[in-house]
Amino acid sequence: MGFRTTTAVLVGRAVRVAARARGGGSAIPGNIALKINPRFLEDTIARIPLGVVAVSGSNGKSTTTNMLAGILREHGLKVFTNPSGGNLPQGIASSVLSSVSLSGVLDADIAILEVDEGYGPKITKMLQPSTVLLLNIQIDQLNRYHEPDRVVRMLEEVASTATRSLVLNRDDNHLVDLDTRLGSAFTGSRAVTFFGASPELIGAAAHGLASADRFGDDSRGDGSSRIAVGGREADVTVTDIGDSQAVLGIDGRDIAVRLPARGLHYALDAAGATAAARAVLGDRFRPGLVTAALNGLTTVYGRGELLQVAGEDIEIIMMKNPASLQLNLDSLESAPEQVFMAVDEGTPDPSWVYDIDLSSLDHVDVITGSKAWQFAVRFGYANIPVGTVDLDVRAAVKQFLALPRPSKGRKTMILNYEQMMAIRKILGFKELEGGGQ
Amino acid sequence: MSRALTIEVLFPEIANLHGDNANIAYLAQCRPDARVIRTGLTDTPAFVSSSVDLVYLGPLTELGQLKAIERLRPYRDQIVSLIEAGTVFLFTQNALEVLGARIRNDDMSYDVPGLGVFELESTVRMFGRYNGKVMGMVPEVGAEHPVLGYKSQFSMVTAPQSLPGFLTADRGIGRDTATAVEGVRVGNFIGTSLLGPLLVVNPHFTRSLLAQLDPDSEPTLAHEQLALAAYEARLSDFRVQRRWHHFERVLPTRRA
Repeated sequence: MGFRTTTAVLVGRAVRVAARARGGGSAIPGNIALKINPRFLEDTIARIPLGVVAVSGSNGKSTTTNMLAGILREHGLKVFTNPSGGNLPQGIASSVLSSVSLSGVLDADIAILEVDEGYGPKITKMLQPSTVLLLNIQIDQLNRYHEPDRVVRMLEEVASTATRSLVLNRDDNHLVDLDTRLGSAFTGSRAVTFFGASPELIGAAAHGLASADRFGDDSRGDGSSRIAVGGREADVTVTDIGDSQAVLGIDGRDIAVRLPARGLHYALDAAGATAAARAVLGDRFRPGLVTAALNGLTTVYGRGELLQVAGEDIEIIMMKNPASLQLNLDSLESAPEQVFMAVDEGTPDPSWVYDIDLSSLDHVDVITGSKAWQFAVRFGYANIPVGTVDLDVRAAVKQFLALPRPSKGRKTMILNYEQMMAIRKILGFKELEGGGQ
Repeated sequence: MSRALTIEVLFPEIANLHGDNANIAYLAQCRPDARVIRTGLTDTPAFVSSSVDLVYLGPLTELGQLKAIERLRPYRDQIVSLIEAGTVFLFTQNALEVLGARIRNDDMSYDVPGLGVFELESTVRMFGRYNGKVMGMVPEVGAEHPVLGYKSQFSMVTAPQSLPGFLTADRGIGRDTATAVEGVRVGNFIGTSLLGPLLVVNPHFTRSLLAQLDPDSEPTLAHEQLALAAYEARLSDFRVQRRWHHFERVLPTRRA
């Protein structure tokens, strides 16, 4: 183990330096490390004393992982995490490279890992997490998964690897009774807890929580009984939300927390992170530390991030899939004053934008990226005026920045992941996502 | 003389992925007089008892496909009769597979018979997903205005050469990676896996479909200028060969 791990660390780091010098490729170093030592993740992460917490689901993984890591740090734990979206094996390995010693030791008490749904079964089987936190199952990137039931089954596999506790969203159609589907052999020896939001808050959200529809249990043929969504007692409940703020109810006590951006979905992420922290810490959990932890967090790239450019605030809204875009648009308090949109081939088939209710926008100033015309047509059909369509991304950004300062002081950019990374660089934010910082 | 159109959308509550219900929203914008019937899963389809000009089914999840088959099975013979009688059908993305002989999905452990209207079989493979562009000619629209679209699918369809396609791809793949023949065109039945949504991104084709639905009226496109500008931009983009992935190019020998 030692020689291969040391070699993987040395070569991986060298590749990382080279990749950064070329301005990209944050997953490549991890890939190289895994080629040299296929057990690189087990040999490093699995040795962390308090083990691994795996966070997965369709949306909110990065944000929740960041929140959970913050809460545990506030409780005095040293946390290793994949901080910003590198949730495939190579991305996690890249994160390891940035903090592991040459002998393969990570200086951490616990690992909090965001895990991709598709790779989740493989990663969690490898790392045997003590706790699994599952956030939601939504209609996701249709070009990757299509059938939500497949994702359900993948996440069931992930859940089944938890050795101590499982934390589930009671307001998700598929997760509310996932524990019963795993059976008494699982639940008999693990703690299962829930988080959720008050029915009033969910009822008031324009499109609810965008939970993927669930067909009758007859389709599964597993004889499991179905529990109504919301029908479980929650350890942590979102009881109120405000502008980038929420109140979490924990054992009858209200905890005010700051969120990375507006929206019930971010509040639910905070509830999930808090419930998972409680499951991990047990009697050591202190609700008051949650407020301090979440108030002090920096936002994960693109997930409601606020960038300062030339004295102006630019809010980044990432459009990853129908559910996340819809929830982010729903959370806008009023139509943004200045709107920029960029979408490229990273969203191979963006036709799902026709399923999105765009009524929270009243115009778009600039659209760019190779799919710009496709979006211009979509806005046109919704009778939402479009200012400029410019396929040259740099020129489009320049035009947008040249617009007069908005009266409310904030410009809004709606970007797919690839354009988010590219435009951050154009705006002068050079650091890379996925462990490459 | 123009007459009001009746459009039936089957199972919009589940057959609604990839934004494809916008196909019908767009038709309704082009023909504000059209009556759009949205038939839910528990409803009896309108085509069973009344005259319908267009029957539409959009993309479904895999389990949604099975639901659609189950609900449409009692009306299978009526569907065949309507196709033979020249009723216009538009089935997009994987909706076409509902009408095939069989859908096989090893990942989800099922192999079920479809409605058997067409002699085609589909195979779903989770790690066989395909995302790519398609450009090809549809005879009634002509070579100068090829139909453009995207494929984003986990299934491939096999069918005999004798089953006519919706288009022949100049770029991109057809029903599967071994053929340029895409979709199915039998009489006025159109089945295609192309997304876009098809009618929204192909104004010339939409105009011809409107003419087909109501030959006595001059077709009018909603948002015509925008639609045509976007089509031209997309066509220019699609015609740049270097932007096509190698897997989007079907070998000439497979075009026969």
